[in-house]
Amino acid sequence: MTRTLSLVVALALAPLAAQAATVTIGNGGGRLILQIGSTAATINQVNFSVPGGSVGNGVAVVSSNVTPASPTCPANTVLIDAQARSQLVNPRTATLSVNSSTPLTTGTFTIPFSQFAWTASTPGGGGSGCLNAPVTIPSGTFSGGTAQSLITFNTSRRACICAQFSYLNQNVVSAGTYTGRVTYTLAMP
Amino acid sequence: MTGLRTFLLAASLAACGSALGSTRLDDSLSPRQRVDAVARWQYDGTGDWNEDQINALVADVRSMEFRLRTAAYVGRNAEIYLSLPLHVTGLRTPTAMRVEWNTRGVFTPGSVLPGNRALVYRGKITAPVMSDFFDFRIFLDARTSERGIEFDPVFEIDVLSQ
Repeated sequence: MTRTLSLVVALALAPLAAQAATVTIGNGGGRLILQIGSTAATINQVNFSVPGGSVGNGVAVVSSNVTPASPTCPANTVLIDAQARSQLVNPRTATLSVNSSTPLTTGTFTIPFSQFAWTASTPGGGGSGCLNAPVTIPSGTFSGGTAQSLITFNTSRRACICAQFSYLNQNVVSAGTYTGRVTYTLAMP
Repeated sequence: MTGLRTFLLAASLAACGSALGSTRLDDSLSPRQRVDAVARWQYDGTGDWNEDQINALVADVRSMEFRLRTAAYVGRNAEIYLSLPLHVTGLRTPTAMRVEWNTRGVFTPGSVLPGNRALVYRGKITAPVMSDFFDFRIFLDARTSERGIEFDPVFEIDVLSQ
């Protein structure tokens, strides 16, 4: 008896409690943001100078400068900043890779990119542009391959370092000014 | 018999509490019954974003008009609140969402979290229908947002003693 009456009261109140508006928020797309060095379309150049008497002695040579200088990283380093975002709570996986398959050249002479390495500075240090990044890209050496994986991380996160490059100087090569380019790719299937 | 007395007393108390406490206002006169928005990144592009900023989403709902039936309260001093339910569909934790709004002047701007309410009007009710346009900005955290978030803004009225 009591239960039946309670139900009647509830139904009678329902019209007075009418509500109309519902707000629905759909998910937008994910986002990949990759910055290597300077912003926009600028391609940074890392310069090395190896004295003639030191060529091929196996003593690594740290880069002499980076142009243009990074506004957010220490001098002579390059910002590598990768963000992978997803609007859903279920994480997606992003991979930062680098293509270093085309060697440096001067005329017909070449130096493979496997002769170059980088050292990652610790995020949060000094003028680092990676102050708030939770993921550090490990230090390493270029493989000379087309898709060398540098780091894999879940969304929504950010991996970032200020990288200082060095020439391993392990081979005797012909004199000259060698140039080459590596290309970084951030992907999230 | 005893059981019947108990029920009548409970019903009486409930009615009394309703008259003095909050009552949900009928907003069925509002022209838009359902509004869709799409979340976007609050901190987009490059920058030294921290993890909270990388996961920060925002969605805008512009000019959502609410028309509240206040005829029963004309001439009385009252407070009107905008409240959100504690459970929001698509949200894993209530603290992962905050709703802010601006208005055109009838109601006051404010913000509220799920499970809470915020004052939007205090004073004498002078019209049988009170209406205003709300510009909502909804802040979300991608780490706790599932596919499709849905909620109903609810307006409540508290009649003040004269």
